[in-house]
Amino acid sequence: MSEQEILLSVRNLRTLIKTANGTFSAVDGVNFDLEKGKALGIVGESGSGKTMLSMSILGLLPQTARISEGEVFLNGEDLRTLSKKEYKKIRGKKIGTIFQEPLTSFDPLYTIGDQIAESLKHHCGLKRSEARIKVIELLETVGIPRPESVYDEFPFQLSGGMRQRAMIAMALAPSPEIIIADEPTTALDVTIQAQILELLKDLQKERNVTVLFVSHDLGVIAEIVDEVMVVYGGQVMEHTDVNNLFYNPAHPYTKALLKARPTLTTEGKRLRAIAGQVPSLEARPSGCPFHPRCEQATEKCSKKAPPMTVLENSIRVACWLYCHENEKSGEQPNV
Amino acid sequence: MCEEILSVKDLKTYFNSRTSTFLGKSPSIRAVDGINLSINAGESFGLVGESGCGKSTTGRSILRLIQPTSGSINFAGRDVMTADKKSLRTLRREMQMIFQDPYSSLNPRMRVLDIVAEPLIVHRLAKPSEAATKAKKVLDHCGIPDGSVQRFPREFSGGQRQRIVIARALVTRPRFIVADEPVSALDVSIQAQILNLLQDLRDEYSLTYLFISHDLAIVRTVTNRIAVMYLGKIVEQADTSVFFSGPLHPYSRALLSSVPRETPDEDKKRIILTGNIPSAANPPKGCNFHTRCPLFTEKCKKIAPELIPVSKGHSVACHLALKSSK
Amino acid sequence: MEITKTKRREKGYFGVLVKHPLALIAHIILLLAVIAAVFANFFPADALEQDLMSSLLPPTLHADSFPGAASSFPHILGTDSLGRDLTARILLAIRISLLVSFFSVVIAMIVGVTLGLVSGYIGGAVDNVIMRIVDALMSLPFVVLAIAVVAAIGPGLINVALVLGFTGWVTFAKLVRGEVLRIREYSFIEAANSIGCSSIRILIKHILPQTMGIILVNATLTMGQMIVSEATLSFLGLGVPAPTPTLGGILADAQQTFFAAWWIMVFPGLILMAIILSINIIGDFLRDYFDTSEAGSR
Repeated sequence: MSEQEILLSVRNLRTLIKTANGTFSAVDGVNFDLEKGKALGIVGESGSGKTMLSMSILGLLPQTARISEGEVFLNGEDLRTLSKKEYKKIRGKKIGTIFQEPLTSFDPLYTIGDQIAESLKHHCGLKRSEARIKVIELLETVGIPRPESVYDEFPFQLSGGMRQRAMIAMALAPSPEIIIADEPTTALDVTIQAQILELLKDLQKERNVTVLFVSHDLGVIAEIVDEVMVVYGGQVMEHTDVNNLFYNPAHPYTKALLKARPTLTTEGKRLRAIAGQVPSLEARPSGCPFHPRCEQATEKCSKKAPPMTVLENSIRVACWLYCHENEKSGEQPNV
Repeated sequence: MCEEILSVKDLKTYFNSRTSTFLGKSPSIRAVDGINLSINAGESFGLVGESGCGKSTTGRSILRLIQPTSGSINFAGRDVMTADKKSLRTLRREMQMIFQDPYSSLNPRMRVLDIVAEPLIVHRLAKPSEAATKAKKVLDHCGIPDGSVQRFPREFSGGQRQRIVIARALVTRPRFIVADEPVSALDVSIQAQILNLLQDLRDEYSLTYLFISHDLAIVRTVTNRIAVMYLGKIVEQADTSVFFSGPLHPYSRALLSSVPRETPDEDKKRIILTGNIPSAANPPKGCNFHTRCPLFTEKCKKIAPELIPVSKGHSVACHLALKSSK
Repeated sequence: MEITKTKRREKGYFGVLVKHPLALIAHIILLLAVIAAVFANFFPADALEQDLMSSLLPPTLHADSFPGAASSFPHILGTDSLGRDLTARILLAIRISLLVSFFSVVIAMIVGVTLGLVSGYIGGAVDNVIMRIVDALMSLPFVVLAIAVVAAIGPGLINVALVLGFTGWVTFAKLVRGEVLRIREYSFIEAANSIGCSSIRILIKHILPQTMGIILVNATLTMGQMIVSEATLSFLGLGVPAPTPTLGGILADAQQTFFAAWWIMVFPGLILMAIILSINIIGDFLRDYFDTSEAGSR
């Protein structure tokens, strides 16, 4: 693949977070490339660092956190060198964001339409009347009925599903190059979630947007993305395309996770639980973060974190099972 | 297996909505609007629905943690609905609850051992020293080792806290447990642990569960009968295996088809419902679901369908499903 | 002052305290005031003994040299218009002020916390009645109310404590009620209900402990207020009657002779200020120490 096709590129990213008990790496050396027009899913459980990773890319880290190492390139532009003001501009224009709770993402004092129009006026230099027409068009695109009247409604007047649609409209407004969606359907009911996922899929096909989709739900991930990055304990465990994730998982964690979830087709009543607890940020084990819960763990796993190994089908996996020191392996940032 | 332990007849729980309308009288919210349930001893009965459908209110009304408006609740031959304060307390020894959020359902200023021993002390079932021993035993069954029982809840992770919540519910040896979304606040890898634990305990303690959840995959794994709720009413009830092989109510079908596919190339015919769940303060006339139903007819707008058996143990509240099955 | 939960757990109260110099000084001042109050009797001069020969003597480090002097101990802070030793009077006054304010706070706390718990937990008509009484009391200036009551039942040490206590409970009631309304929404309260706890047990075992932090903080802050109120009442002649000295009483006497004897006003005034400031700082420290946002949070 040529360099031009890669839209987002993250190199050896490390994000530190300060808590009462010290400083910890929430994101611990993450590498990945995202091609233009593709959808990448980031899956992880609570404390895996998936949200910190997306916040690091967005430049929206909380005050207690900072990026200590690594680079983030969007279209070849190093985002880490940007000032706050420049970052804000990029976020408005080139990166669209969709968050879990759309109610808190809207200002309660302004109408839905004005808030979406604001970014159009600001970033695309549209006039008020032009912006209004464009916003109504957008609201229609995301499947909001009666877009003319919804334009003048306040966020609290909309239901959760409708708010999430409006949020998607807002993210799409300046025609961004990439959309970062962090658990966009987690707060919604299943029937509403199905609506939103359907919408996101259609939009992605029609507009050919690049999507970074963060979720804890493998089922939601299966619906929408092309490739998946499984994170655990701040590190990437496996980076693979979505079919391989489900039919040919490599990492023991991915395998265990797939077996542990109850599905509509599981045989028998007992689930294959993963023993132990999800490690908290402050109590991450040494070596491979999954080793205390891993059935195949060896002594080596507790001592040294395994390097990223590239298997056939360009599956990247961080596990000693696949890494034989003598063979050609090691940190391979370029996939 | 066939002995009925809980029988609920025409249960209604209405709330007064706080916001009054211009014309004074505010409509009451019909959270639970005429529900009949019959649960046999040893069963695990699933109550499924989306948020606001009244499934949690149903569970709490059965335990009278919320005062129902009308109806009858009969537990093991005793009338729960009319029980006075004293007999209600005795009943609560046998009917317990497991809560959704393991973070807020444990008193942050009590030690784990005291939390689990408290029901024994409240019901005067044991002396303090005995209570501690019994509590430790149950905690051990639930996977909390002896060495950590003197700690405070904040020192435990979500999954461990839920084990403590379960131990507290079990310590008085109840026969019936309402589990309200017991795993929805937990990580996927921990959910399986807790669901397995609940199934093991059901055999060990001969429990009956009313399992409330929005997640069909979970309900399928842990229940043997299931009822689907929509806007305060049961729309379909069946054996779990029957339900998942062929739900009859259009809402059940849509709900089942909305579950995200399990593998990327699973061919899924999806029924996407339009619109939102109507307000329980102002439910639609006729069938509650007709405003979103892809199949509704004129009849559905006028007459609310009754829950009618279509085959053994399978009942549906839909004019159309009845026709198609006959 | 930001105190994290972890620090509190590991270091304990004093461990945290030594890291906050201002709060540490405040603790020391209050401790000194308490020692002064306890050992006021052991001071060599008598607070009540008049000696008109030595009236309005300025602060000095030398003992009275004239014959027949009442005290052979120097009037370190001078004497008042009746020739009483100011040091001894201030020490005794600290005792009276601390006693009155302490007991009035205890009364206010018991009444206020009980009514607040009941009001918040039972709700409905009971809540309405209690809260309307609170509103009514709050709309009246505290001191005006106290003056009216003292005027009716007469001054005196115990009466002042009672009056201050029974007018000061409203903030406790309002605060505790608010906390109860917040805490009862947590599902551990529903859990307590479902395991069969009685209402009284829920209130005492499950709700009250969560509100202790805020109660303690408010008690400290109220104590500062009570000392001022007591001083105000004494200043107006409605507090503890003469000859028993109180800080407010001494200040009231001092104003008649201020231009001749500044020390009678300055020293008790400074001490009053130091004590109240210390108590308020301690109150702030306690508020951070018991940061109540912890209850039920992750």
